[in-house]
Amino acid sequence: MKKIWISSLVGILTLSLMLTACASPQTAPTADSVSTENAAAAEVDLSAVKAYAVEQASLMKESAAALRAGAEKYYAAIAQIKADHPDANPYEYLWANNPDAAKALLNQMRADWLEAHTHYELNEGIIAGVPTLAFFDDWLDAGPSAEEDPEALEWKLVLADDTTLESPGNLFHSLTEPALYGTVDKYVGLPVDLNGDGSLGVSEALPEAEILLAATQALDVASDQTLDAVKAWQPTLEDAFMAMVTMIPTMNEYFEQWKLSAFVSGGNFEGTSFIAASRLLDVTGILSGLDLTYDNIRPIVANADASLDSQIAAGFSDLVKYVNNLYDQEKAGTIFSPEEADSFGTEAQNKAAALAALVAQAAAKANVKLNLDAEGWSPDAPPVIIVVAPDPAPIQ
Amino acid sequence: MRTKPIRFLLTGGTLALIAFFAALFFLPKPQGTGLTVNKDVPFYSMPWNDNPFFPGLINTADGKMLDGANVPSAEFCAQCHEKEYREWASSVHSDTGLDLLYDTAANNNEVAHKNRNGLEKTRWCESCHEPVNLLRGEVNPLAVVGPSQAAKEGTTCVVCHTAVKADPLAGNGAVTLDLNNLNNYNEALIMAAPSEHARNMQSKTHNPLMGSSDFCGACHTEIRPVEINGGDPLHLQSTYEEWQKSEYAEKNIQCQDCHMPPDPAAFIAELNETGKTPKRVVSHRFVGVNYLLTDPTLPSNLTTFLRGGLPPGGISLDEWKADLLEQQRLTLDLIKSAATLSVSAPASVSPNATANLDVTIVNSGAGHSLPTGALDQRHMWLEVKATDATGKVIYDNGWFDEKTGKVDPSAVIYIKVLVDKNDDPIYEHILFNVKSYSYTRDPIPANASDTIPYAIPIPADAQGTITVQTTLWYRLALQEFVTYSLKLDMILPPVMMAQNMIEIPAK
Repeated sequence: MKKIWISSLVGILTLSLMLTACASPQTAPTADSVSTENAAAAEVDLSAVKAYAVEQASLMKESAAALRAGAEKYYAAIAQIKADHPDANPYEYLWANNPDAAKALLNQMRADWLEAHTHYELNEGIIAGVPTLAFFDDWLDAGPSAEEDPEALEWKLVLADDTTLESPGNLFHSLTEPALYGTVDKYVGLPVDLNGDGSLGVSEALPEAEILLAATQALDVASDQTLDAVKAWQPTLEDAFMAMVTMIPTMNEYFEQWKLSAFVSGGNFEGTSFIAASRLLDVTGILSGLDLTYDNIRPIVANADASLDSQIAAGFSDLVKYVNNLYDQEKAGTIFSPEEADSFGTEAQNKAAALAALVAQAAAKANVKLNLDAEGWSPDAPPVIIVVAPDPAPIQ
Repeated sequence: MRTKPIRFLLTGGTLALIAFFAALFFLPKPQGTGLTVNKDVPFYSMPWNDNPFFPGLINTADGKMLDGANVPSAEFCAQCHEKEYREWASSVHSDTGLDLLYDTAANNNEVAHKNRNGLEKTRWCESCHEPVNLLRGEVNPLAVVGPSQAAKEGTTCVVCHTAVKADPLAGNGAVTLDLNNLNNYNEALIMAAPSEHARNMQSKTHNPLMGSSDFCGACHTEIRPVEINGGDPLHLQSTYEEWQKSEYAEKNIQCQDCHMPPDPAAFIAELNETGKTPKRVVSHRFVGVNYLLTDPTLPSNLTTFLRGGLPPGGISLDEWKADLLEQQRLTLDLIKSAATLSVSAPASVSPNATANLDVTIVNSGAGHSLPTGALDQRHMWLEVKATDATGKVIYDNGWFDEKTGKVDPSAVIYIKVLVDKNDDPIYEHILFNVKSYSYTRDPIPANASDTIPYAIPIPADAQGTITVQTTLWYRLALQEFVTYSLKLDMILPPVMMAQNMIEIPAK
């Protein structure tokens, strides 16, 4: 009799197991399916994120100041030539009489620009993603000009010759980069054969001094204000999640700009920006800031859902590796085709969209409220930068 | 006493069967894979009401969002239905979301209502253009859902094949999809129960909705809801109602009859010739009027650019181009089958006199008005051109300038003029800002005609017989949209719908 029950039990258990296996598919995990009590109690220390942001903003400020100093020297040299040789074209005169000094100064300014820009990019994920800092992203790096968008960020740049530029766009890509690399005709002082190959290629030009001086002084002022804002920033968990959820899924925009830039389109390039640094630098910079941010909030997420935390960490690792690999190949000399750029962009965006969705889930599980309508900070009045012209002085 | 093994088995088996049926009874039924908004899909913005898809009218049978991972993509379906997949891939239905013209227009509208829920308002558009995207929560200020292959496929297979309800008069994508009950659809389940698959996929024999105009009408009726820009609901597209009032509806000729046969123009020719509806043979090319997105001969990779990317998976570039070429042939043939032109003219004319002509356009092949659809962009016009015996042009009304893309402002043109709150015209399809609209000339209903009088002054030095060539042109979009919105350095050419030539002898 005992054997009957054993047989029956085995049969029932087997069928039960089969039924369990055939039962309805697992429903997706829900945001509230895991207790968030522990998460709420967990402490998070975002001081490392702030320290990183302050460090990058400080380094940007240093390079922007150096760039401004270079532009003032350049302006003073042009002003000196105008005073000494009023009938001469000052740029032609400078290039004819001091080509090496002019080239060295221009190269130094370009190096300072790249330095300032790189430190901004390393900070962009945080600055552009945190509502109280996002104003500076518009002003420094992302905002269009009034010509491109009637609702562009309002600000004024009053040049040394009293010309006023109304909402001329962002400082890095609408003003300083085109001025330093000669991609906008009106910002060119004189096209010159900088590399001595006997032809005038892309970015071979002496800058127009008025706009260069104005743009670099404005960049210096804006960098200073950015540093102050970052120092005053009290990072919150909402800021950290908001930065990640808003900035991670922006891959396709950057890849599209990369595709259209000189780094991919080469000779077919018709733009005015993204000529000095590859847009892949921006992507790697943004991701490194966000990756660091996530590292600092991991305990909160792990507390709410350890598996989700692992998925996010793996997602970051995968995306960062993917983009870094592309950037490394580009730095090593690979020139990708526009079709390849499209394909890479699609893949990066897919990875980013998946990652951003996981981060949003994590925020929900950690009981962090992300305010979709959060008002960003902006100054009481639109910034007005009035350029101060240095005294004339010969180039050294 | 020894118990026989057979008794063990019988008793055990009986108990096991009892347990099995008891378990079947008590185990929960499959719940479906739908996701609950702001629970499974966090931080989802719903500014107007609790319907996550509003102001779009598309919905799911259980009212829940889709889990992207459980939505079969067209590529998945292509494993067995390659022919249908290839047909669909060259159609405009496969590109309703990625199409650059749509994408740009949607962006124009979103930007126009920036800080006024511009993005959420585009759910009205996405309801038909990117339904899977919308149903899975992707149309949201924060990116809260991961990627999905099906979401990029516009009007993908399952959008039509899981539809269970449609409201053609409400429009705006008023279709209900029973997608959440597919429950982790996979190849093994399909192969194990093909008839169940046919039922799930609403094959026409199981659900007549699939073969009726009512289904198409849900998207080919567009009414701007008051939540977009206040005022009253604004009826912007009425292709379904145009059909409903036509003889085609009376004769039970559905949208699918004309737009889904392998050769729609041939179908219409046979219909006109015999007066009988030919037997329905279905192709998934959904031939319409988009001669631009089906043109594989555009220079500099423009076709791929306009279609928002490379061909769908599993199709080589060469195969895709060949498919597009066929799609374009069918499209141009269909456009040419829609109308006929006739001209009545005087028997003769003398120099220094006026030749009075009546040009009649007959809507002879469309089961809806001509033109139809988004008529602020799509337009047709007449060109009447007269030459004398030496070939000298003595009259040209309705010219098209190939260098600027402009049409003669005095042409007889069929277009809808949209205006904003300042009564300024809207050229870039910013429907969110429309205050009102008017037609330069009413579209011509099915089987109806429109007669336009022309007075051609014959110059004193005109030589011999006068030849009058009348052409009905069709164009997909305004040049302003191409130049200022798409920012393309291209002239969008018109295509010919009908042409007529007559000779008027000199007196």
